[in-house]
This record gives sequence, structure tokens and C-alpha cells, in this order.
Amino acid sequence: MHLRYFLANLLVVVTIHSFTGQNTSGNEDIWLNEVTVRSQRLEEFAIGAMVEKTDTTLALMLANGSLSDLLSLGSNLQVKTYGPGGLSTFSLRGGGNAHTAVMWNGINIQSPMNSGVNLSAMPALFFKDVKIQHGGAGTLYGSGAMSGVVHLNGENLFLRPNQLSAAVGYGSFFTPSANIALKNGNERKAFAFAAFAKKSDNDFEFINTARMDRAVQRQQNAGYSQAGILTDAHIRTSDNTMLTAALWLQHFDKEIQTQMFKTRPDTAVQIDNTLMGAVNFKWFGNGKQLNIKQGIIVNEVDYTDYIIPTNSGNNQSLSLVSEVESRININRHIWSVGLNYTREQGKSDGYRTTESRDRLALFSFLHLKSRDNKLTTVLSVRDEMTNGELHPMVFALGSDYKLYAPLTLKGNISKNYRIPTFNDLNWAESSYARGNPNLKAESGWSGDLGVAIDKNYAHTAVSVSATAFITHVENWIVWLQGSDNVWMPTNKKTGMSRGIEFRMQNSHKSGSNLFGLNLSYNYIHSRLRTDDIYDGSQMTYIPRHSTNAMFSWNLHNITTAFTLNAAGERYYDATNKLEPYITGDLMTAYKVPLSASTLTVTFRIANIWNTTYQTTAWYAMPNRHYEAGLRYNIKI
Amino acid sequence: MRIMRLTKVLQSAYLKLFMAVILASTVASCSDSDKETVRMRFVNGTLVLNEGSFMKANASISFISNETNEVTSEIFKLVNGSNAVLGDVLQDLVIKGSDAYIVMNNSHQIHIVDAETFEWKRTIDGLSSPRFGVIHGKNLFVTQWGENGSVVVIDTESMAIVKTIPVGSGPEGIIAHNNKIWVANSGGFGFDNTISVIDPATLEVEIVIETPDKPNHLTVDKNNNIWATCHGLVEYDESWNITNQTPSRLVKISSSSMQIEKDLLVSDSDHATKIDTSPDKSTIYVLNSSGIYSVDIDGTLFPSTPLVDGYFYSFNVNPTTGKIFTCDAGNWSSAGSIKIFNPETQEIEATITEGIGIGPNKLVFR
Repeated sequence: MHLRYFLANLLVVVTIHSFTGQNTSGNEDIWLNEVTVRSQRLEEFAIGAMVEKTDTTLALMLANGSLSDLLSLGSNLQVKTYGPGGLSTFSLRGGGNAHTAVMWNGINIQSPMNSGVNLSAMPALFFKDVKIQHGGAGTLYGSGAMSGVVHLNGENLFLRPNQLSAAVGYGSFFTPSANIALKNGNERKAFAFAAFAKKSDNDFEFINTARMDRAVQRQQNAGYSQAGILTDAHIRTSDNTMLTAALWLQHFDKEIQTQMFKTRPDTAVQIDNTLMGAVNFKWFGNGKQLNIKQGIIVNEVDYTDYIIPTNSGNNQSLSLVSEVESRININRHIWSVGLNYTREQGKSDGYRTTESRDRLALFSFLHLKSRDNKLTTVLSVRDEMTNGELHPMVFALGSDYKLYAPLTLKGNISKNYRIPTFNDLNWAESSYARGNPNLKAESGWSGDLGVAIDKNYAHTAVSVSATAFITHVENWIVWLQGSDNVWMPTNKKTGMSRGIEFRMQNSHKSGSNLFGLNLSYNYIHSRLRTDDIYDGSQMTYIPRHSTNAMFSWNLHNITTAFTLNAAGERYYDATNKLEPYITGDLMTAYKVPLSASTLTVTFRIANIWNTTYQTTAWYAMPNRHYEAGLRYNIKI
Repeated sequence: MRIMRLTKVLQSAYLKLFMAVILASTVASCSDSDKETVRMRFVNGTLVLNEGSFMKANASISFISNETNEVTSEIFKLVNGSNAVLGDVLQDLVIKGSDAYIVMNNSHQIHIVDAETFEWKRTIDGLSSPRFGVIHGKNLFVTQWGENGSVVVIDTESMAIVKTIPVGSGPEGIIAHNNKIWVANSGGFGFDNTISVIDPATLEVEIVIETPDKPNHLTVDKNNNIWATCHGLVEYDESWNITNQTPSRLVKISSSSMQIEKDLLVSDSDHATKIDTSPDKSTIYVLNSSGIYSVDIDGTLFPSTPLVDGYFYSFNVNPTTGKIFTCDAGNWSSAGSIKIFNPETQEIEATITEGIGIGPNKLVFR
């Protein structure tokens, strides 16, 4: 019944467009260029939300690193790693790691089995455009986008010069890496290919603060190797149609780092293999647009524990995403309606059978602009059903108001949700865990109020934003061990986070010198309401204070940057805390100009002050260490 | 210009805040909380061993004073500083003279502390999933699941591991009696059905006694007989359905003939996990998921109803008062509780929650 209702609505919109459709005007190329690469939903409908973009200087310096490196040094995300190269998760605004959706080319890549995304397995090189959208965005991106969204995109191939680049790198703890990238094409067809490989023994020394004698030890069973390829194609199939396609293959082989309190090395290993594909077809009419998107995500995780073989397991998941969205411009306003169908499948040694579910969502956005262009407002709604069961409708309202030239007021309120994962629902009863098929979806709301200033002077550019936020999550799903010793998820907690996010980006040119200063600071006061000793306490792994800073200096062909990353104390259970820490990284890059090509030499000293710290309890992080890289670019 | 002034003010305010955060963090990270210690004596009371959550390294020890009934939590941190870490999965604590040996299962180590003040002395590494310990003479014998099942012998004078004795699979409970070391080979994650008897003089296994499936814990009665709970085998298929299980049993073994003299059926499907005795050693107490059962050593049948009804993670009997202390591990992420049951009045006399840590699993009375 609901399916027919959704389809009927969509059909009406599509039909209207078909009857009224005309070829676009001479501005088409520009429009096409923009549409090809921009996450339009983010640009046009994330109104009132704070959106940050990672720094390009930092991305250049960390080209041989992972997305975890890039986001932990260059964003407001709380990144938590199980040791360098280990599983890396993140959270925003006091939420859990399942509360921040990750979109790759517009497709949510969170695992349907556990909502996880491992940033360590993702090479920073693959993503030219990384944006973090703060606050709930359930209407725009569906289940999981309760605290924010990380957007991973390629760049506009039509705007990028044809070139070939090859790079090698080497870091401490026997960490060689290599990558190659090629872009070729013309104004109608463009193709990009990138390949990446890296390995590390990761046998760093650390002060073991879990030992009473604080002995200096060498990390064991923490090595990893990874390889991946990413291809991207953009094709203008006609004057008013565009086809883009991307394919991403990733292999990650990781030893599970021995925790600091263990005096015997672990022997567990985990192998992740991932295939992701996205195809997007766009049609443009006169003030109209139709997007058809197809996505596939296949993931296999094989965990082997040689000490306790019963802990070993194999997990496989498949997500198929189909989305149709149509937009129509009505004067200066935009109305969009779309339908998303997602088929998810999970197979695990922990399930009785192969689990699957069908999710169907209808969404609509209304983008309104005042006559004087000062006020922009977006009203959006989304309703989803899973296996025929309808979830409560969610909505969002956001506004940007240009108070005067550089100053914009921003406000946003949204209702959001997250459906339980396959593990939550279907883990077969065993002696140690069982799923809970009676779980409710998490629900919540979030609100923002902020101010942004963007001003360019003759030699200085200033961008400042400050946002106060509040996020509320009900029926928070938590895995707890019951009185019968069996772990089981329940809708146990209510979470409330309030806080302030401050971000400033400055650049100043003085003669041949270009100086940059990026600062960000988060204050997060998060509280749990539950019936155990966590009641009223700050959420685990959420620092009340955290800050990032980057000072950069470019002179001629040399760029030098210094980053600071600091976090206050963080609870890792109800009573115990991790110590506050500050780490500093010094990086430099030298571009050697050659005829029609460039050679770039990079060097980084990480953790320059030898700070002893942990981002996840009992997973040691390395002291001072070094990385060097050599990149050769040639135009073709 | 107003915007420029505003941004300068914001920049200045931010830089001040940033420096304040750095300063505060630096001060915090430089403070030596190890110095903030307390000197107390933990005698005339009950030590509660709180196992902690697996892989969280949040084990702790609480102390219940007999004099004041007050509970002191986290005594290891209290004495040795807030940064002192016991480790992961506290399994056992054994006292010899002025030393206490704290067995940390998933940290694979043993801490040695002053038995009264709990000041840390040293740590012995090199074990593999140690479980329970017992003192005999100058040696500490510790069962461990690693090394294919073995007993590690530690000389308490030199603090050195002097021998690793191969026994059965998954050795669990261990007692010293009649100049022998008795080891229940529980099978661990697999299977075994034996008790190994070690000669403490030669440090060799002297005899292996076959028992019902998966013996896990041992105690001694007043007639010098050994009693063993046998969990019974439970097998699962790939979907974790139980495909096969063998009965749980309670057996009595003569410590002289080393023969099984009594074999009582505990249950076909409710499996015994712990054992202890009354102070006069005439009553055996057995725990399974239905509660704690009281078995007269001369009885011929296992009782059909428990003495203490309920689900408990563990229990111990106070050897002086005879009262039964039950351990409720709760949800394993927050504090558990202890109940004190009087077998004479058959009533719960007290429930202690304040000061108990995560996953209480053993009580040491002193």
C-alpha cells in the first residue's frame, strides 16, 4: 500500500518534467561542470548547517596517509583509533560512531551489519573533496545521519588538467607506500584512475602506562598492508545528459594490535575486502533536473583469532542502492522529490541465516529564497519503511540569513533516526551474545544556531564561524551483558549533547609569503540518562574540550605547516578516564619546478613532543616518528 | 572595518582560550597523580575481586571492613596512585605471608603487593591466560589455559618461574591437599574430563584421574575427600544451537585412593560452575544457574531445590561465620553487588552495592 503511494507520487513528478522538458541553454557547460562534482544536496539543501572542508595544504602533506590522519588533524571530528593503522572510527557532537553517516558519491557506505566505517582503510589520496556536515541530516541522507555526515567525493574531472602522477613514501617502523594517479580526457569524456599500496611493521616503541613499572616496550602484532584502486569516469552523453561512474576496490590486511595491558602478544588478524561502485545519470531540462543513482557496496571481513579460535568469524554484507530524484525550479525556489530503495544483505558466522531487508524512502525538499536573496530556507521531509514497516516521518527546517555583507546567521532544526543493524537484530543466540529482534529504531532531534563571517580583503581572507548546538537521542541502542553473562542490545539510553563549535580559517599574503592559520575548538557537554552508573555522566570518548590548529607558511616553492591536536580527558568507561593530550606535527613540502612537470618532496615529523597518549583505551600510539615522500607530476 | 575588528577580537579571544587549554592540559598531563596515595591496612575484612569488563582493563579490588562494614573501592588505585592499572580480568588473589599474589587472566601476569597495605612490589610476566593459584611450601602453583593447559610454578622467594607443568586442557580450579596439588582440567573452550595430581616435590604429574565431563572447581571436606564440580559438555552448531550436552555432576574423590567414591547428578542441562564448603567442611555448596545448592557430604542425592535461589556469577563461604557471600555481576559495564546469606536463618542479611566494582567474582576473607 505504502509502496504504491510512494511510486504514484514519484511518477507524478517525473511525468510533469517529461511533458515540460526542453533543452538547456548556452550556460549548460558551466551548469554541467557544477552538477557533475558537487554534492548538490549538500550545497543546496544543507542550509543552516555548519559544513567544514579539509585543508588542501594538509591533504597535500598527508597524501600517503589515511583519511583517519587527515580528519584527526584537520577537522572537528572526534577520531578514535585502535592504534596507528587500526580500526579508526569517529563521532560528532557527542554522538556515537554510528550516528555520523558517511556518504561516498552520495551513497551511504556505513555497514548494514554494524554501522561501521574504518577511516584507516581509506587512503586520503582517493578523496579530493572531503566535507563534514555538522548536525542531524536524516531527511537528506536517511538513517544514521543523527549527529552529522562525512561527505567523500572525487573532484570535477572536466576542470582537472590531464596529468600523470607517481609517488613513493617511506615512514618510521618500516612503512613504505606507493601510489599512482592518472587523469585523461576532454570536455566531453574524462577518466581518472588511482592506485595505492602501503604496508607497515608498525612495531613502534611506547611507554606502557598500563604497567606499574612504566616500561618502554615495542608494539607487537600491529602491522598492516593495504592496497586499493579507484576509477572515475565522467561522460557527457548528450547536450543535456551526463553519466558519471566510479569504482573503488580496497584490500586491508591488519594484525590486531596488542593492548597495553597484555603481556603476551595477540595473534589475531583481520582482512577487509571492499568493492564499491556508483553510477549516476543526470538529465537537465529547462529549470528541471532528473538524477538517477545506482550504488553497490560489497564488503567481507574475515577475523581470525589464533588463541581463541571460537572468536574467529567471517562477515559479508551487500548493499544495493537505487535512487531517483527530480528537481524543478519555480522562480528562484527549488522543489525536489525523490525515492530511495536500498536492499541490504548480511551473512555472518554469528547469524542463523543470511539476513536481508528492503528499505524504501520517499523524500522531498523545498528550497526557498527571499526576493532580496538574504534569506534562504529549506524545509525537508523523509519517510522510510523497512520490510514494509513504516517509520515515523522525519523533517528538517534550516535557514541562512545574510545579515549584512560578510555576516550570515544560520539556524537548523531536524528530527532524525537510525534503524538497528543486522548485528543488533539478528545475532544468533549463543553462550556470549544474542541479537534483539524487538529493538526500536533510535530517534532524536538536533538544533543549531550559528554565525558565519566570510570576508576577503586585499591580502587577507578571513572565515569565522561559531555554532551552538543541541542534540538529543532516544532509544539509544547499547550492547550490555545481562545477568546471564550474555551480551544483548537494548534501547537503553537517552543522550543529550550541548556545545559550541568554533572554527576560523585565515590566510594572509605578504610579498611572496602566504601565511595560513586554521583554528577549531569544540566544547561538548554530553549527558546520558540510563538506569546504571553511566547515568548523568559525560559520554565515553567524548572530550569536553578539544581543539585543532594549523599554522602554514608558503614561500616560493616551499610550504611548511605545523599542526596541533589536543583533547581533554575522556571517559572510557563509567569511572576511568584517558589523560588529556596535545600532539604536534611539523610538515614541509618542496616543489621542484621542471619543464611540464613537478617534483614534490614532502617530510613530516609526527608527534614532535613525544607525547604519550591514547585515543582508544589501551591501544598505544607511537612517539615521535617520521615520514618522507616523493611525488612526480607530469602533464599529458 | 567593524567586521575586521570583530574578527580580531574573536582571534584574540580564541588564542587566549587555546593557550589556556594547552596550559591546563599540560599541567594536567604533568601532574603526578601517583603521589596522591593513601596508606591503609586491609585486614579484618573481606576482599572483593572485581573481574572487570573483558578487554577494558578495569578490574578492581574492594574491601569490606568487618569493624565498620564500610566498603572501600579501588584499593589498588587508592594505594598506588590513580594511574595504577591492575589490568584485564582479575581472576584470583592468593596470600602468602606478607605478600598477596593477584592473578590477572587477560593481562597474563601476576602482581605482587603487600598483603596488608596493597602497595605494589613487582609484577611477574610471561604467563598465558592464568586462572587460579594455590600456595604449597614456598611455591605458588597457577593454572593457565595457555601452553595447551599447564600449571606454572613460581618460587615466591626468587619470584622466578621455576617450571611449567603440562596438564590437561583448560586447567581451572586448583587446591593443595594431602601433600598433593590437585588440578581440575575443565577443557577450557574445548573438552577434558580429568583431574591432574601433581607431586609438589618433583613438580611432575603423578596421576591423572578420569572424571565426568569438564571438571572445573575443587574443594575438600572434613574427611579429607576431594569434591569436584563437573560442568558437563555443551556443544553448539554453527548457528549456536545446542546440539549436544552431557549432564553436570558432583563427584567425591578419595584423596588417598584417588578413586571416585560418589557421583551425584546435578542436572542434565543446568551446569555447575562453582563449589565451596561450610566452615566445618560437612556441607558442600554448589552453584549453577538456578542458585546455590547445599549438599550434605554423606547425602546420596543432589537436592532438587537450591538453598539460595537466584542467578549468581559466583559465591564464597566465609570460613569463620559460615555465611554465604554471593556475587552478582549485573550487566558487566556497571558495578555488581554482593549479597550475604545466612544459612542458619536462611535469609539475606545484607546487600552491598556501594563500592563494589564491575563483575565481582571471588571473595577473600581475612
